[in-house]
Amino acid sequence: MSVDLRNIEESKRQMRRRLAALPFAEKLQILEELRERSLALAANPLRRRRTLSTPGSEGPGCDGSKGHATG
Amino acid sequence: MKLKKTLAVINQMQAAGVIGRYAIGGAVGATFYLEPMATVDVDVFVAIHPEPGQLIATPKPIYDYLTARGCKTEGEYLVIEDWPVQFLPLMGPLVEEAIHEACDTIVEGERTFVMTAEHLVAIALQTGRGKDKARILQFLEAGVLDQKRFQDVLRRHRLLDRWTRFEQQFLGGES
Repeated sequence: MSVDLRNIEESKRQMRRRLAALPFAEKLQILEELRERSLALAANPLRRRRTLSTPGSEGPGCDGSKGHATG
Repeated sequence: MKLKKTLAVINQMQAAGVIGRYAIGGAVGATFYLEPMATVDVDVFVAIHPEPGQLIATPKPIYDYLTARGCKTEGEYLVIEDWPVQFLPLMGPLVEEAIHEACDTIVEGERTFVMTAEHLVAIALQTGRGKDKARILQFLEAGVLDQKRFQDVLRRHRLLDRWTRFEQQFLGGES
């Protein structure tokens, strides 16, 4: 599969411009949703178990699927 | 929106004379100019008045006012309508000017004040942490700075050398 990184970069730039052009109130609404998502992720038991796990149990997976016992 | 309620409480506190003029900075302030960015708190820069008979202003009146209205403290934050708010006192002439020249705006009918893009970048440059430098680059890429105004702010607050170093480090010396 060929991936044109320049297209991806330009697409991301356009997305950022579109978001930046939104009214402040709409951007704050998005910011609140981002915050709620971050807090939900931080409170996720898998993440907490990973943080509290013993040394040596860390694994490469960021979804909690590796590196510690998930049952 | 919870943030609108947070702003309303801050405005009530201002109307009650607990704080003077204020301006929003940090990630929430930057969101006025850029795309929304994840943050967990609101930075509010405030002019705090000294209490009667006192020469030095302290944030105590803010804590007293807000805790009396049911707001909880979390470390250095006061939680207002579910948002942790950090009240930052005047920390020098740059912040004082940033508050004075802040943009007057309305969020769903609630008036508030946001630092100008030039002041946000100058404060980020002065603070100089990794995330501040990253934010400066975001502002530059978005092209929202008024260059003349920005250079004037840097000159007034003796940040031109620091800006030159930033340019050399991150922009390859281009201006």
